Amino acid sequence: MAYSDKVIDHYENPRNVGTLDKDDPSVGTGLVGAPACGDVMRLQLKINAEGIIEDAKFKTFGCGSAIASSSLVTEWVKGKTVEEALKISNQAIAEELALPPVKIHCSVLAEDAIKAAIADYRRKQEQLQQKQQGK
Amino acid sequence: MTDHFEILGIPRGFRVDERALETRYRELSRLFHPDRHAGRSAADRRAALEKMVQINEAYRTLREPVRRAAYLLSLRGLELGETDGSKFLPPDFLMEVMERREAFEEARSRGDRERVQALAQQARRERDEALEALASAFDRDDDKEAASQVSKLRYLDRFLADIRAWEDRVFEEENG
Repeated sequence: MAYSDKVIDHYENPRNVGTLDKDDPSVGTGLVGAPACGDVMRLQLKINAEGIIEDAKFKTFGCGSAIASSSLVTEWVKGKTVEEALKISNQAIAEELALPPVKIHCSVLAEDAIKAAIADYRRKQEQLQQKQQGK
Repeated sequence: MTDHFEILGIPRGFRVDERALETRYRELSRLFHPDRHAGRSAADRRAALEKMVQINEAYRTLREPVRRAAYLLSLRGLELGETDGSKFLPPDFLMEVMERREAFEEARSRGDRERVQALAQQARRERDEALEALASAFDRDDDKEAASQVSKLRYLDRFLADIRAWEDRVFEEENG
């Protein structure tokens, strides 16, 4: 199966590979997987007080399409608000990378990772607020 | 539609007698082998060929425990899809996968073969445990637990395959 040029580009030069401090309350970590093919994807977002995504890092073990999908997503979310990031759909990712039908699940994984990272961020913020109110 | 167990004539279930499976497969393969049907009509030859394809597919699926388990679950209406399978995984499992992967990547970049072998050994041990857990989940008719073990096994198999691929590459570089 042939990969599109964009997939190959992201696969060979992945953007924003790495980690952010998962204990930082302004960092949300999303960890998702596709057991059928053994892929695992970690996406981390650093979100400022205005709700804007300042930084994004990912680490993905899986096929080229999974790596490209997560790499693309880190580029897309930077500078976006949390609400805007939540609107990124797997269809948009799949279209941008010209993913074949058998690889659509990689884009679904990337969308899930954004949602999981933001859910983690919100959970942390809630906990923080409860702590502050408790004081 | 007849299922793979019926095609091979073995009782439906996760625990299969592997020798019986092998024997049945050989008998049926002989029976429907194209050579045996060479002198027959085109329709007969075609029917035998179709049967042979079914037999091969059934054997390929049932011979391998993880495939057999996933197939059994699908017969029970539980499809382990491409992504939604992760909902059957225990919450910390993906974290373990990530850590395992990172440890392998790190050892690989240092060329630390002993560490890689230790990781492989650990994964194989967990694979054996997961296979046991899978069998007993089927004994209890606990489909969700079985699905969780299948997902785990797929990760472990994939991990072990990646380690083997790396070891082969290293071997070739040294001896090629």
